[in-house]
Amino acid sequence: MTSKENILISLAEKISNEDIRIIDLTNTLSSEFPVIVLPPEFGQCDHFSMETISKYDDNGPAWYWNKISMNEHTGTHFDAPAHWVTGKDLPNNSVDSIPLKNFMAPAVVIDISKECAKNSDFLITKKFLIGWEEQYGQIPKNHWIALRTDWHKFVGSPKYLNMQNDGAHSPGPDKSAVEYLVHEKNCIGLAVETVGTDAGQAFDFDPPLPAHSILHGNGKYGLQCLRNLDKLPTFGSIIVANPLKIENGSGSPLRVFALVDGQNDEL
Amino acid sequence: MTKQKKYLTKKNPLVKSKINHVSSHLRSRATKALACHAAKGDFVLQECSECQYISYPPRDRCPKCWGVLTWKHQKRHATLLAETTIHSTTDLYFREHVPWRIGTILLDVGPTAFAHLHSNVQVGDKLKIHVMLDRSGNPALFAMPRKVTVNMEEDYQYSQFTASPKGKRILISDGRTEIGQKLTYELIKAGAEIVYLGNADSNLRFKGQDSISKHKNVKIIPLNLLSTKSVKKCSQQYGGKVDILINTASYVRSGSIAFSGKITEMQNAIDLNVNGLTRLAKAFCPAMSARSGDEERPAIAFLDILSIFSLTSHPDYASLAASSAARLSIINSLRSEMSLSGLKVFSTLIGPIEDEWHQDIPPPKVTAEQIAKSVITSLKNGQELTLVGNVAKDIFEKWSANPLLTMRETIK
Repeated sequence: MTSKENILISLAEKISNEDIRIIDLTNTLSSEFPVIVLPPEFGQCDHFSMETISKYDDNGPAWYWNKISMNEHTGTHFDAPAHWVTGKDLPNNSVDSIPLKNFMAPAVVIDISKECAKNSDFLITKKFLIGWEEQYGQIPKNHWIALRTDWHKFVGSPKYLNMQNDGAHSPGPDKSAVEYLVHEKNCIGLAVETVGTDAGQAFDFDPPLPAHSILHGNGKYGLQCLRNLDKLPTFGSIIVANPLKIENGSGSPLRVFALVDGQNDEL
Repeated sequence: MTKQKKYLTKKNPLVKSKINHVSSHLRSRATKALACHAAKGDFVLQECSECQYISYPPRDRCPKCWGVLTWKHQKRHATLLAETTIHSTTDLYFREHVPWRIGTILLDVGPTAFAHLHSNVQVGDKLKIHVMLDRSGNPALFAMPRKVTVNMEEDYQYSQFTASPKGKRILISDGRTEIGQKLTYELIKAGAEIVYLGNADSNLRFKGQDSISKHKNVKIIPLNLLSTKSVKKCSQQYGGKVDILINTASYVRSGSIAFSGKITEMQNAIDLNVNGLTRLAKAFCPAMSARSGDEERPAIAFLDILSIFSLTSHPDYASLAASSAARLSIINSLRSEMSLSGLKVFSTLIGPIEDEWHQDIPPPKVTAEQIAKSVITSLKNGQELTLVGNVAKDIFEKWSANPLLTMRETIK
C-alpha cells in the first residue's frame, strides 16, 4: 500500500497542510478558572493549583517543573459514567476502563447561543430538538452532542457561574431532551461550554440533574467547560477527548480538540 | 502636649528608605520570660517568695536573699525621679531615633528602674508604667502620664513600641467574611488611610460586597491564599504599599479524625490555614521588612487571627485544631525571623465564632465585632498576643498553668 492509499497517512498530510484544521476546545488550567460550586455543607471542587518545584534555581539549577493539584472535574474536563450514582454499577464506567474508540467521535453542534443570550436559564427540550432537526437535518447516531451557548465568553466574569441567591443560572437540557439524545440518538455524550452538563437550576428538576443522571446511567459521557464550539461546523467535525488514565477515576481534566475540514463553508 | 507623628499621603520617591535596625537580641532567659507577659499586656515583676522583695530588672535569683523569684502582677504606679535626653549614640537603632528621652522611675512597689518616657511626663510626675515590646521583641518599661490625654498614643517614642492603624495602609487577606468586613470598618474608624480587602473568588459575589466596595477608604483586590500565583501577584502590586497585613482567612469544618472527618477537609484546612499563611508571609514579609525602618511610611506589623484550639486540639474540630497548631507554630517562627527586621508579628487567638460553621458549639461564642475591636486594641497597644472571648481566655489560662492537663480536658 502506498502512502497516498493509506487513510492515516492521508489524514496526517491533510492536518499538516491544514486541509484539516485542529480547533482547541480547551480552556487553560489556572487557579482563576471557575469550578462548580455546591452547597457549602458538601465537599467542594478544588480549583487548579500549581507550586513551582524548581525553575533554574537552587532547587534545580537546569530544570523547571511544577507540582499541580486539582479535582478530577476542574477546568475543561471529562465526566465518566461512574461520576454519577446512576452509572455506578455499569461496566467500563471509569476513565481507565472506557473503550479507547469512544475518545474519538464525530460531533453535531446545536447552536442555542441566541436563545441563551436572551435567557440564562434556557432549557433545550425534545420539542426544540425535533424542531431543530426539521431545520438543519437529523441528529446522527453515535455523535457527541455539542451545545453551543457561547458561554465560554463569560469566563473571567461572575456571569460564567452566574450564581444568585437561588443558585446558578446557566443553560442546559431538560429530561425530555436528554432521553431523546440518549435513547433515540445513542449519543456518545453531551459536550458543553458551561461548568456542568446540567442547567444551573437543574438541582430542582425532576429528576434532579437530568443530564448527569440519564447520560451516566446509560454509559454516556460528559464534556464540560469547553470553548470554541462556535468554530465548529454543525456537522462533520470529530472531537478527540482523551481523559487521563486515572485508576477508577470519575473524570479527568484533559486537552480536547476537534478536527474540522478546512474547506468547510460554514467556518 | 503630645508630640504627634506626621501622616504623609506620599513620600518622596527619590529618597532612599532608611534601613531598619533593631536593638540587641542578647537577653537573659528571665528577661525573655518578662517578654512573654508583656506580649499579653500584663504588668508583672519578680517577687521573692522568701523575703517578698520586688525586683527589677529580671534576674534568676533574689538579689537580697538568693530566694526564688516568681512573676506577679504589680501596681503600675511610679514617680519620675530624673530624666535625660540622648542626642548621640553608637547604637544603630537609637541613632535613627534621637533625640530620645529616658528617665529613672521609682515604682510604688519598690524598685527603681530606667524607662522610656512619653513626651508628656516631667520629673516629679506620677506615672503609669507599661512593659512594652520593642521592635526586636525585647521588653522595656515605658512611662506614660497617669492622666489620659487626647492623642497620647501618637507620641513618637510610644509609637515605636506599637502598631497603631492610624494613617496606615492595611491589607486584610479575606474580605469575604464578616470578620474581614467588620475589621475593615473598625480600622477605618481607627484612622486607617486605606484598607486593601482580599477577594479570593471574583466569580462569586459575597455578602456585604455592595456596601463595602463603595467605601472610599476600601479597595477590593484579588487575593486567593490557595494560589501561590495569586498571592505573589498581589504582593508584586501592593507589597510596597502595605504597612499592616492582617490574615483573616480561615477554613473551618467540623469533623473528627477517625469517624466524621474527611481527609479532603484536613487537606483544605492545611492548604488555607497553613499553606495560605505561609504563602502570605513569603510573598509580603520580605517587601514589608525592607520598609520597616522607613521614617515616613514604615511597614510595621503582620497579624494573624487563629483558633484557640491551636493550643489544645479539639476532637470535633480536628482539622481546624491541627491546622491552627501549625499556624501558631508558623507565626512563632515568623516572629523570630521578623525580629531581625523590626516587623512586629501579632497573634489574635479566638474562641469559637458565632457563625454557620460553629453551630454545634454552645455559647459563649465570639462575634466578628469583638474580634475586630480586639485586633485594633492589640495593634494600638503593641500587644503581640491577644485572646478574644471567654473560651479563649479560659483555655489560655488553663494551658499556661498545665498544658497537658488542658489538652486532656478537651477529650470527651
